[in-house]
Amino acid sequence: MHVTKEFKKKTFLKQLLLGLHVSNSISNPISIQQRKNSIKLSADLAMAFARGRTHWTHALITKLGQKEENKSTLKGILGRRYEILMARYSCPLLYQKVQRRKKSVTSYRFSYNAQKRRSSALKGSCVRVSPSVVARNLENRRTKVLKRLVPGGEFLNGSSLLSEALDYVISLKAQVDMMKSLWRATQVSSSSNVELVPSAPLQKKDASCTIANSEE
Amino acid sequence: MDLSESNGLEKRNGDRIDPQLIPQFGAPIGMVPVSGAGTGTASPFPLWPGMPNLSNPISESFNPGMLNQSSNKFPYSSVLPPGLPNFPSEPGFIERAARLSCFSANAGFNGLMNNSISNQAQKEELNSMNIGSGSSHGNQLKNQGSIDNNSETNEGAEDKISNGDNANANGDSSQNDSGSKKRKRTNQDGAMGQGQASMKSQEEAGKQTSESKKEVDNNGSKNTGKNGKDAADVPKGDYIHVRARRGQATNSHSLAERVRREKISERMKYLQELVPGCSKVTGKAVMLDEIINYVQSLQRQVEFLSMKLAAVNPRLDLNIETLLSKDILQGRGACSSTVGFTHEMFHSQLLPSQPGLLPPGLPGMLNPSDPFRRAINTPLSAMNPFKDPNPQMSTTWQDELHNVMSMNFATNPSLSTQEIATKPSDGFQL
Repeated sequence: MHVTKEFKKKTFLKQLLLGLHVSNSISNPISIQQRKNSIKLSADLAMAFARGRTHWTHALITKLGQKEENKSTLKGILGRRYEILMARYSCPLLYQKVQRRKKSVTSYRFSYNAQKRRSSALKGSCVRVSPSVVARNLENRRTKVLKRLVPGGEFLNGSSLLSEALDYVISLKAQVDMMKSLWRATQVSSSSNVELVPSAPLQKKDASCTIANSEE
Repeated sequence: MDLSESNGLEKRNGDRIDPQLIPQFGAPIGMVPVSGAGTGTASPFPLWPGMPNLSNPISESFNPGMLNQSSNKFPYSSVLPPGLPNFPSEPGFIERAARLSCFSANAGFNGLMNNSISNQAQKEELNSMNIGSGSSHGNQLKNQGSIDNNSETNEGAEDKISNGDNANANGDSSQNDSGSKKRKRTNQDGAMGQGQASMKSQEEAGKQTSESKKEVDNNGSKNTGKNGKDAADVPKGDYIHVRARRGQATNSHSLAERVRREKISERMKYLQELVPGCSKVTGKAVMLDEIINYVQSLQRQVEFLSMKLAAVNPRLDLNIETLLSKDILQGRGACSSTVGFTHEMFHSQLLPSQPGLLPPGLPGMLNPSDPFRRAINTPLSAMNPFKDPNPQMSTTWQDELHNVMSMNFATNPSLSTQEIATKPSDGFQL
């Protein structure tokens, strides 16, 4: 499934730095929040590009593109493709699909509640809910949460949702690792740039090493 | 005898091999001596040429299962001898039986299966064999084949509907679906199946709906056609053959549901491997919970790291960025030094670094290059989970890094920005 992770790392870094450059050049962000947002945006985009063409990547890019503050950065990164992407993936059909599914979910809910009411009416005040019902209920609730978490997950069902989640988890993991290493690289170089006593950078390096080891 | 699967799919493991199911396959074929329990194994297998090395595992799994069978299995033996003369008359039957035997035997014969049924002709043979044998003993034959694997992989290759999800699914299922081999009953509910299939198709989403529906229609047509070797009816290649297991409901609704559940359980297995600390957890609901927690924690980590990077930046600001970006710029899509260090993180197998692609640059070694080199080196040594230090890699790309760094300080930053801006996202194919 994930055969060529190497290329993805490379693309990720490339995209990340490209994004950072673009965001820096476009609007010099002042506050740390803005910087953080731009970094996060670039990182997410980089992850999406590195992964290639899947449902969640499209959804992620579309979602990012629809926020106002990101548009300029996206335009800078994507160039010509921006218009194509936005036109393709923000079509109203998607929303209709969502509406339809919501209706089906509510209808199911309604029938289930009716069933519960009936059962409770028959059996008196206490509602006997069978374990399978409980399990199903839990499952449904958690599936909904997962759908919210995974980008583009609201439109997926069952096994496809799970496979998208799988993919997303893998890419997220890769993203976190890359950013961690980037962070370590910056940290060490920054410590050495401070021009401390020669032993101090080594100590700092060791500290970061131990932190790294404890993290992993 | 408990062949019926549990409702909640909880205990289902993809690579199970139902020992009870194997004798079902073996018995109707008539090659397994019913009377010869114990370890008498030699007799059937010489009849299946080309599969001599399968004999032992199959025999071991056949016999205990056979011994455990209830008495209603033994009528097979009485049914078979009159039916036996029919079998060899079918040309190529033995080869087909051999192939089928390897399907049902073990998940370990995956490669064999995938190799052997990679084309339509063999699939059609399987189908025809099913029908032929099905006609001779009714619904006693429960074949297990990995047609569904191949249909899925084939369609994954050809079908234009496939998105990445399906491609992943196909890749996964072809490896692991051997355990969940099912074949749809061909002769019992042909007519009923069509009506039910149309009902059932509405409740399932996605491609599988059309697949199973088509498959039911196809089976119906095959039943009416009755000729068994009609190549035209046989799989158009993009649906799943599902056959009811013994003792289970043969409603097309439940069959489709079972297929769906199998898929979901397969994905859950993968996720179990991926999400840390989930190996002991069983059950869909709990697994989902773990997955949700993990995804949330990863997302929070991303936020946190981006905040950290943002905090670091004002001091260096463009320094690291320009350096790294120029690395990548010089790399020109080939393996650059930062790429080398990220490779090290994840894989013990590394792409060969291509120092030749980097321009030689200025020969001088600048001082700032040293701390950066040390910076990159420490992540290398610290974060290598695979215990594969590969010192040659680091030294080669240290040299690259030197070259690159010297180049960096020589080039014009504005020029690089231009070049970066003109490089679109080539990793993302639209």
